Amino acid sequence: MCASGNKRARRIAVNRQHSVLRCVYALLLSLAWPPLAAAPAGEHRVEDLYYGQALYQFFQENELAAITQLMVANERPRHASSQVDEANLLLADLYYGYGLHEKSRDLFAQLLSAEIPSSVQNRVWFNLARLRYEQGYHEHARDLLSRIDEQLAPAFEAERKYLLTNLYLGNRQYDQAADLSNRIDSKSIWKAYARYNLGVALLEGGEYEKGRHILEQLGQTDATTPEQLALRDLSNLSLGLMQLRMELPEPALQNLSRIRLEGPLSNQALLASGWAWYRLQQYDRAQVPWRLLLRNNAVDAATQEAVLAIPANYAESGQDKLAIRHYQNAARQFDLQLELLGKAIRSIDGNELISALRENAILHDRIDLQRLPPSSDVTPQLHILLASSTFQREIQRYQELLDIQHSLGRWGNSFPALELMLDERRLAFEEKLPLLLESSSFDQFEQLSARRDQHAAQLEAIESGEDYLALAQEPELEHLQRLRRVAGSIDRVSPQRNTAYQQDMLRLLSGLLNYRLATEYPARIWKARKQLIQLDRALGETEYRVESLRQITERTERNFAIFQQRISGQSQKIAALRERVARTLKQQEQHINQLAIDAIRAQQQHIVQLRLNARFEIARIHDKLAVTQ
Amino acid sequence: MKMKSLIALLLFCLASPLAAQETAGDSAATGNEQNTALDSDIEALKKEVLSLNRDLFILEEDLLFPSNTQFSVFLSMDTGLFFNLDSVQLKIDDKNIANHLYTERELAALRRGGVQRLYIGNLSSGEHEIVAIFTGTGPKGRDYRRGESIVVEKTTEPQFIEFTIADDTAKEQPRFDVRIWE
Repeated sequence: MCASGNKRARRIAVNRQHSVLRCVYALLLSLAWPPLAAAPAGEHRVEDLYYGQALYQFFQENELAAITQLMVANERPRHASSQVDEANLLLADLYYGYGLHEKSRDLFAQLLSAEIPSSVQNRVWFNLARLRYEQGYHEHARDLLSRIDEQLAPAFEAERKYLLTNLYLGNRQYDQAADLSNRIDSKSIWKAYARYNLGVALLEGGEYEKGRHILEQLGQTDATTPEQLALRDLSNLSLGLMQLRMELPEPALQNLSRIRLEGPLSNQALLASGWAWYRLQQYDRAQVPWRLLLRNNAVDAATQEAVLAIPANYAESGQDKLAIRHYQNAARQFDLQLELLGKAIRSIDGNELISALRENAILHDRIDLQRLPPSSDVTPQLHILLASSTFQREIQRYQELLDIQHSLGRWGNSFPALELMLDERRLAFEEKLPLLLESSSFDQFEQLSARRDQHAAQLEAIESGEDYLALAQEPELEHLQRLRRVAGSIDRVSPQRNTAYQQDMLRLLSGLLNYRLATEYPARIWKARKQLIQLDRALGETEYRVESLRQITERTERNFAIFQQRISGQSQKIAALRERVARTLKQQEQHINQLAIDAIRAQQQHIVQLRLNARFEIARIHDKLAVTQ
Repeated sequence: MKMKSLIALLLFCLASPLAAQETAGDSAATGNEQNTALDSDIEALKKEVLSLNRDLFILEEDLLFPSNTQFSVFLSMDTGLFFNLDSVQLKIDDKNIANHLYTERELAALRRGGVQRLYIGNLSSGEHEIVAIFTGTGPKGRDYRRGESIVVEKTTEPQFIEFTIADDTAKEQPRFDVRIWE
């Protein structure tokens, strides 16, 4: 018999072998629980934007959005300071919470196989241990917990000790469990749960005094939160019922009287209080809680039993006629209840339950349902159904399917906008394309490249022939031409007159010019080579730009095609998924209806039995009266 | 009715909701196999939808905010004891681009270490001025309004800016930091 503080842990912590109080746990389950404690609560600075965004969603209980953020993050390049391990730890825990146990376990295992800091490793072991414990692999959970070699963050440390306490209890190691539960931080609710489990285990194990002491302490603590109040009530009820079983009605009454009348355990407490007074043979006082119970007009089992308890009480105290009248009333009340249950089944067949689930806040907040139930023939039964963990699980699945349907609908509706955006971008690109092609001057670049190659070939020829004349500057070329003209004139006039002086002068000037050109050739060829290198650099830059623009053009065109393909592909996928979800939703609705109808039929059978008891008692008392008369 | 039968009735009564559930479970035994298949269907669906959500999220972002122009602004809090945030206004080059009014839930998420993406959009390459104006309640419950700005040089890579509301414990005043993620 266990209770725990975490939604998941609480669910599994209920030991199914101890049946008497299971209904009570189920009621506890219907309270609101805090979200999973997988992420740090302001314990350190977030250094990863993706992780931070996921936490922002997670802390607002938008678990699906948090999962998406973390999955997207794993596809994106991360910064050096990324908290990838922390993010994956959270993702693994969110997978678990979303019912994807295999994915969760794989991710935890993947984390452990990587080189991770010891703090993260310890938290992975802790999470894995919690997971294995919930799956019922207690030895494996114990082994994983034993690997944790440093103090965890306070919230996790308290839960670790709580789990170990439960493991000790499972092995009936009460002393170790008591010692460990005492060492849990008193501010943590885990301590209260561990102490409660210990108290109940001691009672069940025959250690009445020790168990009583612990449960009485818990039953008188100052409680403020709904969780603390529920646990306080549960402690009092557990102890009270055990004391009734042990024929200790006086202390039982004391403990039962501490249970809140407006709490989820009030009906059980009222019924048990009546029986405690009855044990004390104070029949009139026994009537008080039972009548109070009847006034609530609930359809739960405790109230139905109270209907019979009242006449039984009269019969026991010898007020036979009064007993007959009340038994008759009880039988009529059971008739009425059977009729109501029949009506409830018909309305479930008419899909009223599903409509109520869809319309009401039930799917988002069960507490609201208790305050404001939907108007339906099924309403009174809903409270009882909701106390069943099976039904809760099915409703949670139904909610998940509705969420999926909603999400698919939203994505489906966003496709026209995405397609429009793609069309607009394509149009804008096509408009710019001629300008782009022109400005990128592919042809011009080709021409420039050809001219460069020409220059390079010329330079190569000059170099190989050491043709310094080819590197002459404009004035030098003019001088050369002038010298050639002078040489021509000398040749023409030389037959008529002596031109030796002019010819010497011409030789001298030509020699000087050629000498200058020859001596300046190395510098000039070096300069020419340098210019060619600079030209190559400039052309290289141009080539890069041209190539880049060419690639952008091609890539953009290709990207449009890829985007179009992705949109179409996803659109088809969504359409197929929507059909599947609709089909599964229908099946789940049928399943929920069937569960509800089965539960109501069982309740009908139970009431039929009670009605039979009432009629039998009427006959028996009549017989008795006939004999005495 | 004798005492023993009363005790039996009491125990039966307290266990009866359970009995009802168990009976329901038994009678639905034929439906259990079907439910197992249904369970697998739902689990498979959930896996597919999660992958789909991821792909669509990426598709949407890639399409709407190409990496060469993508620009995002984030907000985080480091304790935030001296400032109770009501709203944030974000401007780029003096143009109002985002306003956000905070709920208690969102504030709690920020205080616990969550990071909010205030804005994602497209920004051309070059210099831009980003201004965030924070409005709320400061120390001693006084109205508080404070602007924080930064000039960024947008390149062809995606750019991320983070504003942080922190505490200046020495001055007992809020501090507003801004950083560019490299």
